[in-house]
Amino acid sequence: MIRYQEADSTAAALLVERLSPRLYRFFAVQTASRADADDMLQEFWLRVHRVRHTYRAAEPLLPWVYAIAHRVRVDGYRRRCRLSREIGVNALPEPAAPPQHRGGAPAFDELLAGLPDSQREVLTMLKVDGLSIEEIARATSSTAGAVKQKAHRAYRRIRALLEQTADVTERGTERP
Amino acid sequence: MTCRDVDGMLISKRPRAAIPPEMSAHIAGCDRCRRLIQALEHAPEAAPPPDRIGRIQSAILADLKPVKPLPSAGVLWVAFLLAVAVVAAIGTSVLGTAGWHALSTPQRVAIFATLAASAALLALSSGRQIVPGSMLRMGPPVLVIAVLAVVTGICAIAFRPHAEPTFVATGLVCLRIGLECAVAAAVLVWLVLRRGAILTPMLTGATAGALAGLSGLTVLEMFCPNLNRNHILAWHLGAVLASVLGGVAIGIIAEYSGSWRARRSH
Repeated sequence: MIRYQEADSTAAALLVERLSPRLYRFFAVQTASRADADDMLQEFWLRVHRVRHTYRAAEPLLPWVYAIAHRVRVDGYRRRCRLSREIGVNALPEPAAPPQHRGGAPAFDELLAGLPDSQREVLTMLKVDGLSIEEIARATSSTAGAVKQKAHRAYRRIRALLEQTADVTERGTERP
Repeated sequence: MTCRDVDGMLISKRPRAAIPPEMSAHIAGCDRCRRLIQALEHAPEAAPPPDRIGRIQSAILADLKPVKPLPSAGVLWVAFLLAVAVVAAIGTSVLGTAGWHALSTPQRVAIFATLAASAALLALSSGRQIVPGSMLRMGPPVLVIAVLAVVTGICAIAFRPHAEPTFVATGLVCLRIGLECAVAAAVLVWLVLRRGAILTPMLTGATAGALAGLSGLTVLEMFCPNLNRNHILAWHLGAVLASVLGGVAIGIIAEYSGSWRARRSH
């Protein structure tokens, strides 16, 4: 990152190559379409390039990166909401990936889709991107306690959703 | 171990890291936890289209210039405080110190210590808000509300109400002076803010507005000899509140104009 600030083209290219897959995953898990995730990735790098001088060598890189990604996602979400109101939900692009069921249980995306926006984001950062609680707190301008609380609430909701699914599956198999 | 303990351990566990033995023992006998782990430990893989990374790299490399990193947190903190102090000093030198002389020593200590501490905290928060990924000990809305509440509380305790026949006329003069100083401080604060990355314009606007408003309040406390509690709460603190609301309004406009520009570019 420091070399990117010093205009080292190899370092800049390497940074894009290393970070893009995990950031694409971060956007893709939370958005409705691959095209949206793609647009967000591009928007993310535009912003990173614009504010690259705000990174400080002594600070961890991931919270800085994810704070920008968090903002891009929030702006993207607002834009999509406005767009869906204007053109109608039917005109929105196709879903990012078909749901993958594992032994009758809902897929990861389906579980996350049932969560409020902020809980979904915290869980994505925890379970998809592998960030620590403190890194998430920094990235979302929140406190570690608030992040933990959101994660606990998300887990409670997911447990409830899994139990509902298990009940439905059991009732389905009991039927002649 | 309970299911809630499992949640706690899962929260601190990195993806694909080994499951601790005590958790394994619980999972072996708990269907609910087993289902949860199966569902969450298999996050989907997704990769950007192959040509996308190349295009991003080309766009970045085409505009690659060396940049000077943002000054340290301490320098930013001093810069924000200087912006407030300069306007307060100029305002006081122009308008005089009749208010300072009208205050008793305990009132001076209570008011100016509160103003200094509040400005220091707001300057610290402003400096952190313009650096993505900074640790914020207190959320900006909570900080701004806390500062307003503490300053209001101190003023309410330090002063006594009395009848004032020209309440509105004198009040409007103080409000105008407070707002003029706040606007001047806001311009200087903006010059520091714009060096960083403003990710949440509305919250940064509120913090910067409060900081600028405190500059106006400092000038008013130095200049205005009217010690009527109602006058101070309505007009002196009214200037701070108006400054905060102005900052929020500018932030909202910036957020919406930003998303409007993004929409057009899409």
